[in-house]
Amino acid sequence: MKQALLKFFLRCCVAAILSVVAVSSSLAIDDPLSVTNLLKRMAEANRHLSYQGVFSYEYGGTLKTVKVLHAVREGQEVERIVHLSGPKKEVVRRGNDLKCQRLGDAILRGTTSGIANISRGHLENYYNLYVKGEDRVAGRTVIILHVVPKDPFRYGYALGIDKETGLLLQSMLIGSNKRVLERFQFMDISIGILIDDMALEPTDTEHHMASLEASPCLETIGSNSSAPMVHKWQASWVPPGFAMAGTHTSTETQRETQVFTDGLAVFSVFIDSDEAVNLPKIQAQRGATVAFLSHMDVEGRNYAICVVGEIPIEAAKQVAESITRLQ
Amino acid sequence: MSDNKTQIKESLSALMDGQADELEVRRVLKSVSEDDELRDTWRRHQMAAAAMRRELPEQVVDYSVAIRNAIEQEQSIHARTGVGRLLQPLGRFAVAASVAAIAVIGIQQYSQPASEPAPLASANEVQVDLSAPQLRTAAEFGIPPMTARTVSATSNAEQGYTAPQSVVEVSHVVPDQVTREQVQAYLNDLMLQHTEHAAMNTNQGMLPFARMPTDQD
Repeated sequence: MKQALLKFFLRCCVAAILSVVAVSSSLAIDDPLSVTNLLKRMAEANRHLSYQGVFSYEYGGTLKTVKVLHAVREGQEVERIVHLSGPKKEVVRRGNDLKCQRLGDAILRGTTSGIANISRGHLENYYNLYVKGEDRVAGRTVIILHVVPKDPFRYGYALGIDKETGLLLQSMLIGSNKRVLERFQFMDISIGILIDDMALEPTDTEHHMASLEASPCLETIGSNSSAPMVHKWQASWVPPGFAMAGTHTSTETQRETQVFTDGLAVFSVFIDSDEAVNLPKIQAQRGATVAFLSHMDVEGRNYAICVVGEIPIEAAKQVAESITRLQ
Repeated sequence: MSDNKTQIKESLSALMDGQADELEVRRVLKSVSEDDELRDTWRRHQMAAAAMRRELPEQVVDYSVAIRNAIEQEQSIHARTGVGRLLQPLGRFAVAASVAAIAVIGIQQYSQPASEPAPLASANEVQVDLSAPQLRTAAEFGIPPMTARTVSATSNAEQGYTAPQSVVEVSHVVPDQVTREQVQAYLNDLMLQHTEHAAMNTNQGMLPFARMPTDQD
């Protein structure tokens, strides 16, 4: 009798503990400040919100100030970026449908089901994520998120994400030996405001129109899609966790472009057969961006292979050296 | 004595910042002429200041000992003869003039690297990182201090980059018909295209467009 009572009591205890665990884990999922939710909100806020502000961008002793205006018109993003210091530079980006999700976007939002090699917790496989409390940027409260790579093939980040809206207001890219390679930070920003159509029109006739090609929406590159990405070249090695986000061959120059991302970092591979083959072997770096150019002979023809991206130069070099021609 | 030294060093810092009063300036000048250690401190301060202004030459030559020896020699020559005594003021003037000349040469040498045109994808990011605290903790970045400075990844001596200036390494002989401008233009073109890819795939929004190369870079 006593034993039966004891058993019953134990069962109750287990059930209670289990229910507590269940409740707390469901709380964790709904917690707007959990790491996964922070990244998800960041990915959405950046595209869906209207905002206008001025930010600074700093690398290797250079400081630039840039004005940005972002709005949504008829379900499409409209963005205008104006460099306020140094040479005139203006970029306009239009026609990016909000329904269109690209690979990097999907990885951050955790909506990658059905894509080969990419699981739900993809980022956590390659980075340690830590929420490091709050700070203030551009007069707003931000959550500081540290993203620390687990291998030497990618950089780390210290991100400042707006607590109220999820918009990225501050970012530091951190290389090996915990060196800060670049720093981006809003100085002033208005979020959720109405932006006049006129303000989104370029004022500089020399402005650059950003192209959307080479980065298709996921529906077109999905794993069970009938039209796989067409490319003649293949990298037999990319850093673990990176997947191809798009490819494009220029009809004009025959330059083949491939884009890879792990959700945070992006690198591009360019294969050229034009005058670029006369260029020497190059290893270059500006701020966080590296470029590695090498050459390859295939069937008596010389090709220039260039890897450009925000990844360590050793990784870029390994990718460039692993490129082979598909038959 | 050590208290006195600390005081002098404080005065020296004040002098460097242009904050020293006349009395302090005199005291520092007097002490510097007698104290090798203090002279070293001053030299280090000057070098750090030059580095921060990016005026540090590739090679730092210390003229002070040579100048001091020259002055001592000249004084001893003049002291020997009566004519020397008459010429002494003239000699001092000559010494002063030669010091001035050295100073001018020195300045030209110092400012030269800064005015050189930046080769390729930006050698203007050469950093002399003397004082920046590095962000270090065991597993994480730690809370970045306010003074965290951005550095060029190539100025990483620990990875065997001996010359931070060589941002672009060219591994074999550049064919004559290829100019640095062509290499620069090609890289800028690729970086521009990469910017667009990054903007579409990272969701760090406008950040890639800040990285975008400008004609100046």
